[in-house]
Amino acid sequence: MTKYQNNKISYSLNGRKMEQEIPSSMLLIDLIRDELKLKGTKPGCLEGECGACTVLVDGLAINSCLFLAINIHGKTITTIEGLSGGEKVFDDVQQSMVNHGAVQCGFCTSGVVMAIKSFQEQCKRNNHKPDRNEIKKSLEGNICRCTGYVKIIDAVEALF
Amino acid sequence: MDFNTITPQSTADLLNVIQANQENNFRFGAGYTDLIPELQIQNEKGLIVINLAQLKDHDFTEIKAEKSGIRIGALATMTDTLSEENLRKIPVMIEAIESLASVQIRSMATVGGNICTASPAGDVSCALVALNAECEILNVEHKTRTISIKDFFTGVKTTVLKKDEILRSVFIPNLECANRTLSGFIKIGNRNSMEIALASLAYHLMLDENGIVTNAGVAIGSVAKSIMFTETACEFIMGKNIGILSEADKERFADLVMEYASPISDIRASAWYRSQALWNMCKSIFLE
Amino acid sequence: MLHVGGGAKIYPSDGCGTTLKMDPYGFLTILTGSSEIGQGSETVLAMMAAEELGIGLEKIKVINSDTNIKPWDVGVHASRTSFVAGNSLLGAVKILKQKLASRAAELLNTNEKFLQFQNGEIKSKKTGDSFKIDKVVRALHFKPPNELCEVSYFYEPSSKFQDKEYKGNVSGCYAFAAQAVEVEVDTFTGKVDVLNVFVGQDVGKVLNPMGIEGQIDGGVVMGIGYALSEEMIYENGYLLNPTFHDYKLQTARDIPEIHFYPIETNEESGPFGAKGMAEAPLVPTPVAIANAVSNILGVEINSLPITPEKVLRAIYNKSKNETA
Repeated sequence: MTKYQNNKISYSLNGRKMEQEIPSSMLLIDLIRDELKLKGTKPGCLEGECGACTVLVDGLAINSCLFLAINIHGKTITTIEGLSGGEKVFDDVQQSMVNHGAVQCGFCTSGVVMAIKSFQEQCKRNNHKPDRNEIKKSLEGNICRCTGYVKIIDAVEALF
Repeated sequence: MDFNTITPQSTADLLNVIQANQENNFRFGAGYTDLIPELQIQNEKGLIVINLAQLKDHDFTEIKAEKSGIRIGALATMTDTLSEENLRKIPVMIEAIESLASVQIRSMATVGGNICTASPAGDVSCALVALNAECEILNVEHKTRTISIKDFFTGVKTTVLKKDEILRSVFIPNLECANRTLSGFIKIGNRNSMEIALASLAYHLMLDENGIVTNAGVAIGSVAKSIMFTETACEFIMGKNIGILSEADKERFADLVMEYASPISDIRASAWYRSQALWNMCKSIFLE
Repeated sequence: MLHVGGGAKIYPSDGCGTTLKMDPYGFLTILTGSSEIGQGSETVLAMMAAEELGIGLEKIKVINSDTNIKPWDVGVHASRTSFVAGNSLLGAVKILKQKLASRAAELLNTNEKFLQFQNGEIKSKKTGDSFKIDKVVRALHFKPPNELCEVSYFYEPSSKFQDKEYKGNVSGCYAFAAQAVEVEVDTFTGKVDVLNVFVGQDVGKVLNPMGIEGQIDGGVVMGIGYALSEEMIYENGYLLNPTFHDYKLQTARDIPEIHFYPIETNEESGPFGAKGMAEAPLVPTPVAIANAVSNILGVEINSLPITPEKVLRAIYNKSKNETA
């Protein structure tokens, strides 16, 4: 029998310092959902095609189903649960999604919101107002069967 | 999907780890965007993954402008590469990266991973072949060797890398004295994003002030066992004025490119389609 | 195109049940048979109840997924939710209002027919006197007749099974729809891009403008996938493309501008004149796209999806026939 080792990692999760011991081959999505019990991050295709599991690692949107959990060591993780809190009911991305009716069944929504958050921050840093095509490009990794994307794109457009 | 990982922090560590595991079954993991889906389907018992994601060595991670070209560390991500000012001047490279999967994948996937996966459909690899890039390979004795990326691939998912070697960087030689370029990456697929190329064409032609081709690099993907540099097509187009290319010349060029293609039929497309579409695309690049 | 707009009879009952409960604080719970899978039934049912009872949306809760407690329904399909569940809800609301009105009439010393429900009150049009709706609920419960403000109703649409020739009145109502599309065909690769889709559709009365746009957008894009990229490929009974890697849904970069022109009619059998509308937008789309492609190429492509390969093959065959 092969023995599988555990690894000690420390990271920041939604603003909180964390330390943990996890198996080598654990995926970030499993750490988030099964260990941390944060169920807002959704497992969709588990092969990087649908984007439902998108979270931010050091501000960049990634597929948590393809990310080895040990590699968040020393990094900052933001999940959908980390966007709002305290007095803020919604992050402005979430509020814009609500305002535009960009949520239907909701399964893709957390991933979509996280992808938009990363894109919004990147545009802010570069002082850039994206056009509709750039917005579509930023959403290419998130599959949505319900909305036809139109209202999601509208929601992003309204952020700038 | 169970495996053990070893996470070297320095190059010295890394080479020791590779040396120590010569008798073991190991894989390198960098961006994991290909490795994890592969291991999810086919878990190799007792596999060791040498995890490169935490390696702190600028030679592996940075993109540097050198006197005679641009060096991209194998662990630079696609997103890192896209934001590199010097690379933005090379359309074939930028278009290839932008056509690759999604924002999320590009933030994880590494340039070295794209090369070492050695997929015949590798987008960025195809651009690098057209650009005549050089692969810098490091072995466990700290020795390096350089090999043209054209000779790097030996077949579907196989490369010249030996078990005690690792790709450290890829070098794009200077595209000096080009007055202007005709450069781009065409990826043929059923939809506009999240595609594996049915066929792809990477081209980078340098032109003088009269529009005469002074240097040419053309590569094709997804139509052979590995990405192909189309040497004779490049030779043919050299010295020609692309502004006044005849229809016959364009067709000859396309025919010469196609001599390197031996596509297969699968559920994505037939061999006929891959050939026909690619031939058309070869002609289309001169429309610009 | 003609499509069902109020369910389709595929089971001995195509109906939906509703139970309503109003508590002593005036909060309404709607227990509906209709499931919510993102189509917006929770919102639209709450809107209907709010409109009828003159109370705010914030006072309404919809419970719809627990089969231990929810009444009968056959599912979300056949453009039936707004129509069937809506009619069921309105039937229940009518009984609830009667119950409240009869008690309120006593309290206000007036005839039920002079009462109206508005701003959370039941008000006499004649005298202008009113009672808050929650007070009427308490008066019903805590004093004789000591009744809870709970009612149930079941609605069965008028639809019938198809006959042996597959004919018959299968739905509660019907709707016409038309779409026009503008496409671009890359003659080098055969790839089709849809640029604009114009949707004209009889939707009865629009109940929730944002919701209906969302349903149209989603339907059209699903229709584009159906037209251009989505296909389950089988070999010897095995599905060869069971993942999103090879089963190709449209992405955000594949979608056109969608122009929606609701044709508002008054469907007498529908709730507030509305019809079911969410399935119709995806049915004409592939047909319109196929017609547009054949309009450009002068060749018809008669199988879906219209992949780049099929288009390029058609172009190739056509030029071969012309030179021959």
